[in-house]
Amino acid sequence: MGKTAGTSAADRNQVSEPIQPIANPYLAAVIAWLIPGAGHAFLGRWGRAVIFFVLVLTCAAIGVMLDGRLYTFDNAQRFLHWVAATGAFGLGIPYLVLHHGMGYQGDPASASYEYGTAFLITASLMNCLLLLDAWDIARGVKD
Amino acid sequence: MESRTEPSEPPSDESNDSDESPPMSHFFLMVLYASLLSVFFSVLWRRALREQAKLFLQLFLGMVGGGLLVAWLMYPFPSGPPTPFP
Repeated sequence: MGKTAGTSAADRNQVSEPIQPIANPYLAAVIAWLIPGAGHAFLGRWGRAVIFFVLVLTCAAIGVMLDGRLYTFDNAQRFLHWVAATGAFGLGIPYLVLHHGMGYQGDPASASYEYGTAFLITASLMNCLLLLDAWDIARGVKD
Repeated sequence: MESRTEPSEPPSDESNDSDESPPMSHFFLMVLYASLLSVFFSVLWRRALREQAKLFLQLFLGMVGGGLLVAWLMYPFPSGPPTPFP
């Protein structure tokens, strides 16, 4: 039964229109991760690239301005901290600049600390979604 | 006799203890956050401008309206004395 179901799924893929990759999805994903919006620029979606670049960096800048926490990989921390750090790492080069270049960590004593953390982690997760979007566009499964 | 204007005026949320703190309120930050997310998802998920505008309004009003609704529902159950922000 399971084999039959698997075969029918494969048949459905063969019947539908063949997927035409427009670029190397791995390269598009890496570029998209490095610089917010760059993946879309690499794929020729310049308008969206500029909008995403501005949005993600604005969100991250507000997070820094509000002294939000930038989650980093720390062996002493628990599992959920690692999940957050993985998400924050999705910000790409801005994460590396903030963490390694500027030594930014955030200020827990600040009244806007929680808000800033929300903005920072949101900016990172936005870039993760952009990475997946660039991947899909490069594979030709999305416009 | 020196007369002071509005002696009983409540302190504003926008008042800052230090010059470095950004002049922001909880509501302003919520609207800002909802705006950024709404623009992001409307551009990510829709292609036509009209569709993007429609989705933006749905997301923005949903987030801000939902936030206000939850705040209203929580109003009878305060967690403690209000703290000044920032």
